[in-house]
Parts: sequence; C-alpha cells; structure tokens
Amino acid sequence: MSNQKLQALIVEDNLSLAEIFKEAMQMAGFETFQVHDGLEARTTITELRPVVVVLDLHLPNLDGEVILKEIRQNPTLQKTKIIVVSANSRQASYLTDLADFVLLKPISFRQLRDLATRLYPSLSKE
Amino acid sequence: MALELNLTSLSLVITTIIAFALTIYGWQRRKVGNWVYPFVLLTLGAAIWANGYALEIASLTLPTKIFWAKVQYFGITSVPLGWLLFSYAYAGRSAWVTPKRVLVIALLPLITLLLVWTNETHRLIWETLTIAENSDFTGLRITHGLLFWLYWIYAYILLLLGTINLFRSYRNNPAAFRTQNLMLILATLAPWIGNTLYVTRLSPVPELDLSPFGFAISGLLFTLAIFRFQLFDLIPVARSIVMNQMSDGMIVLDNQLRVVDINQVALFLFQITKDDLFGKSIAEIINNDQERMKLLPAHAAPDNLLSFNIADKTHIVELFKTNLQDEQGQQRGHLVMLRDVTAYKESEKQLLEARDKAIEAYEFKSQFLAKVSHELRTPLNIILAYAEMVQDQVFGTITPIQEKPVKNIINNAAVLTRQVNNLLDMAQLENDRIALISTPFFVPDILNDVIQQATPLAEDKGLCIQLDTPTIVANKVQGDAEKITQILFNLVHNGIKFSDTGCITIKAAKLRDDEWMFSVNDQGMGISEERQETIFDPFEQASKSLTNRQRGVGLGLSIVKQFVELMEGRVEVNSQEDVGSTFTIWLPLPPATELELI
Repeated sequence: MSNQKLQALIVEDNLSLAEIFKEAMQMAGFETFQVHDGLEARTTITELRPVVVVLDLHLPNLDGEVILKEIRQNPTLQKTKIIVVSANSRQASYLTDLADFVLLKPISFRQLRDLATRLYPSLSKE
Repeated sequence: MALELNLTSLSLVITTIIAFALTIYGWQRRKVGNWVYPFVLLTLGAAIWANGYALEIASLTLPTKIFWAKVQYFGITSVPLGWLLFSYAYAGRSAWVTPKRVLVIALLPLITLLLVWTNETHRLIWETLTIAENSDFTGLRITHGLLFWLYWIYAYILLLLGTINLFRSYRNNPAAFRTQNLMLILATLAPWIGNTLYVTRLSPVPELDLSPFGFAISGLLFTLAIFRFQLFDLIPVARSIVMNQMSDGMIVLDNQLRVVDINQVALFLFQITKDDLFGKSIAEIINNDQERMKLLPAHAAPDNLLSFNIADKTHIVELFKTNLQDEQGQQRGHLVMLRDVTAYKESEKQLLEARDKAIEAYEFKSQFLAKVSHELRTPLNIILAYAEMVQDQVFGTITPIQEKPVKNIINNAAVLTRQVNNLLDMAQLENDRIALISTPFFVPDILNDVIQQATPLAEDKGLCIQLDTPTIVANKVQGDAEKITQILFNLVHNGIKFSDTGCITIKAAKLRDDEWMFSVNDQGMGISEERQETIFDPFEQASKSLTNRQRGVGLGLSIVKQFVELMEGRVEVNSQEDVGSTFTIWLPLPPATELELI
C-alpha cells in the first residue's frame, strides 16, 4: 500500500550519493523524493512536509544549514526528523542540537538504512 | 782573590744589581709572552758584563783582571743576541725567530766566547793585556786582536737590526705604546754609545769601558718602561696580533673623543688611513653624518646598527660601546667595537623569507590535503555504498562466486576510505578545524563496531581479534563516538599491520564515573624505546625497515594522539621489541545527560 508510506526527502547535490540514500531509505520502508538544490529543497519541504529529511549541508544556491534552521523555526514542521549528512565535522558539531542525527561522510549505505529502520521499525516490516 | 773597592766598581755593582733584578723580574713573568726569554738573556748578559767589569777593576793582579775580563764575555756575547731576539718578539715578528736561525746567529758569539777563554794560545781576541793605572781605578790596557774586531762589527750589526725592528714597531704602534717603544730604543743605545767611545778610545778616561755604565742607564729606562709604561702589561705584540687580526673593527677614544687607536678593520670601514686619524676627534670622522652620530659614546642608537657603503656594497655594522676606566675607576676613554653583521643580517633575511615560504607551503599542504581527500572521499563513498548494496542484494541476487569479489571491494574500499579520512583529519587537525561531536552512546557498541571493521583485515593475515573485558554494565556515556571508534580502529589496525601471529586484544574498563580506559594489545614486532618517542609524530612509523604491506601513510597514531588530546584524555605506549605493544588510552566520558532520541 504505497500511498500509506511515510515520505522521506533526500537533499543531496551529488546524484550518485542521492541515489544511494534513496535506496537506503526505500529499504527502510520510506517513499522517497530527491532534490539536488538548496532553493528547490526549501519549497519541496514546505509543500511535501516529509517525516524525514536527509539533508546535505553543502548545497548549491542555498546552504543546508539555512534550511535546517528554517525547518526548526517552522511550527508546521515540528515533527520532521532531520538527518544531517556532512563532510565537515566542525560544522556538523554545532548542528547536533538542531538536527536529530548527524552523519559524517563517508556514509555507508547500511549505516543510513539501519538508522532509518530504527526510526520507524514498523515501516520495513511491510 | 784580592779586591779593591772604588767608586767606579761600586757604580758597576749597582748596575749589576739593577740588571739582575730585571732578570729575576722577567723570569718570574716568563709566561707573559715569548719576548720575555730574550729579555731575560739580555738583562742577565748585562748583569754579568757589569759585574765582571766591576770585579776586573776591583782586582789587583793582572791574572785576576784577565779572568774577570773573560767572565764579562759571557755577557758581551749574549747581550746583542738577546737584544736582537727581543726586538723581533717585541715588534710582533716572532715567526722570523726559528731555532735554526737562532743557532746561526749565535754561532759567532759562541766561537768568540771560546776564543776568549783560549786567548793565551792564539791571541786572536786580545793581542796584549797590561795593567793601566788611573787616578780612580786600575783597568786593563788592551790591544784588540783581529777576531775581536770581527765580533765587534757583528755585534753592531745585531744591534742595528734590533734597533731597526724597534723603529719599525715604533712607527706601527699606536700612541700609547710609542713612549714605551722609545724607552727601549734609548735603553739599548746607551751602552753601545759607551762601548763605541771605549773601543775607539774616544772615552775621556781611555782605559775605562763605558758600556757597563750604559747598562745603568739601560736598566733605569727598562725599569721605567716596565713600571711607568707597563711593558709587561701592555704587550704590543699581543696588541697588534689581536687588534689587527680580529674580525671586528675597534676604535679607542680618549676623554676628549680623540682617536687614540684604531685597527685595520675600522680603517677599512671608514676608508681612511691611520695617519689621517691619530689625535683627531671622532667628530672629523663623523663629519655631521646623522648615521655616523651613532658612533658617539653618548649617542643611544635604538638598534646600534650602522651602515657603510664600500665599493657598491653595503656593510651593516653592529656597534658596541664601552667606557674605559683605569684601576682607580677614573674614566680614561671609550672603546667602540664595530662588528660586520652584513652576512648575518642577510642570512637572517633569507631565513625569514624561507620561514614565510615554509609557512605558505605548510598551509598549502593542509589545504591541498583537505581538498584532495575531500575529492577522493565522495567517489570512494559511492563505490563503498554501491558495493554494500550489491552485497545486500539491493540490485538482485548475487551468486556465491560473486560474493568474494564484492567482499574484497568493500574491505579495500573501506581501508582506502579510512586512509583518506586520516589524511583529511590530519589536515583539519593541523588547521585546528576539527571539532568533537558529542552524542550519547554505549561503549560496547563502539567496541563491536571496531571489531566488525577490523575483523576482515585481521582474517586476511590469519590473526584473531578478541575482546578481553568483563561484561560492561553501564549506561550510555557522552562523547564523540565516531572519533573514539576511529581511535580504537587505528590502534587495532596498527596492531594488525605489525603482527604476523597471535591476537589483537581490546580491553575497556570504566575507571570512575566519568573516566574510561581502553587498551589495544598485540603480539607483533614491538617498538624500540628510541622510536617510542616519535611514533606519535605525523608520518612516523615504528620501524624504518617495513615491508610495503606494513607501510601505511603513518598518520594513524598521530591522529590517535591528537584526537585523544582533543578529548582531554591521554595515550601511552608500552612496548618490547619482538614481544608486542600495548597502547592504552584514558578518556573522560561522563554519563549521558540527554534523553535518548530514539
């Protein structure tokens, strides 16, 4: 029953990585959407209101950090869980309070899949 | 031996005493310089000469007079020799005085001495000897033989050479030494004037040899040179050597700021000659030049640096100024030293440039490392993730034959990823751009992670990995799990690299409520004591004789240490060659305070 699946948005400008994240999230039972640009991410998040956002920090046009802060300030997105993926440990370190999870690149496919599975264990069983 | 004392012999006795006192004075100070030995020979010769003459005059019979006349020749033959050698040493030309030359010069005096004592058989020195009665004394009337005249001419040549040396030294010496120098010339001339008067029979008393009396004048002048003009304290020989061979420029000024002394280096710097300068004021050198005002003793230049342009080359000179005081503490003048620091300043400049370049290169290296590893990480991440997906059959089932290659891809991509991560970590650590990400975690979780990551590597080498730790009953702790995993993995990986047999043993223990201890032990090649000090340095490895298989980039342990220190922990190594190594780390890990998110 695909229309009952929870939605996850993958915000990652590297298409191959986005594809991997998509696969991991799908294996965890999510319906996935991808965007590769910061501005596009901003509008998609408010329209789609996904339960999980896999958010890369380094994005064209709009920085992932700005998006993260906007989500946290948006009352309608209070329940959205954010998994930040970043290669920059310094930047990642001060975002741990805002993000639900911070994963440092390189991110293993299994790592993300297992994390997403733990988020909503019931989904993957379907 | 009958003697008769009279005024003449009494004055000669006094001369003897002075000359002998100078001999003893010199002998006691023979360490002062090479010139003291000829000085001793000279004064001792004079003492013997004067004493012999005193006793010759005082003797009543002809044979005793002849005996003492012969004794005098010990002095007569040694005085010109001593004088010549002394003059060479005093003028700073000791190098000329070789033992061979001394022997050649001493040959004729020695022959003469021999002939004097055997005169009765050949009469080559004295043809006739008779007693000459005078009003005051009884001398010898002598007709000199051929060899006497030969020696006499020879002695005068030696005297002349010595005097030339002293005149030369007089010309080259600074004012402070000129009086002393003049004293010495006069001291020598006195006895020879007396001698010439006697030998040429121009003496007012024909049978009286005036030369020993000259020694009395000599003795007085030498005494004056010693005590008034510090013959033994200010040694022009040493002065000329030190001053003119020193690499620093030196100017001595008196209280009126007149130039009293200047050495060759200083003359070169100012491009002037010595004659232009003596007695003139330093103001004439300065000639209102603001830069050279720094030379003035009262001028407090902030940097004490002075520049001279000589033949299109700029010499940078450092100034050292000292007040000169005498023993009573009275200000006597000033000393200005000029040290040419051009080469030093140039190398200092080059060093600074090199340092800037090194810093630039260092920064470039860090940026380059960060950039390269960043660029490498993304494709590696993709390879690793896709291989995992293949292994997890995301793209469909894989055959048993395909399993091993996929596993190999994953293992090696994982190793490569860690190496690249190490490089990036290193670059970030060097740039101080790495930060801790503190999250709550279970210690057993990270231990399992480490074992899971390292097992494929250990299996490849036929090693085992074991966790030697009692069941850890602990709540979550707060810390950077990622970095602790990396630390432990690096240590385990290190153990695997340097072991061929046995097990890598991981231990973990909670020491206090907020402190944990982890250790990794291997039974590998071990680390020598000397190398233990450097293994934590970047790009260092425990042994320089490593196989390619063991050789990594050499960053693992350096990162361990820096991460541990970043977490305010510490790391220690305990190792014995061919037995194994144990790396122990202590980390502050307080209990987790945040509520678990999942």
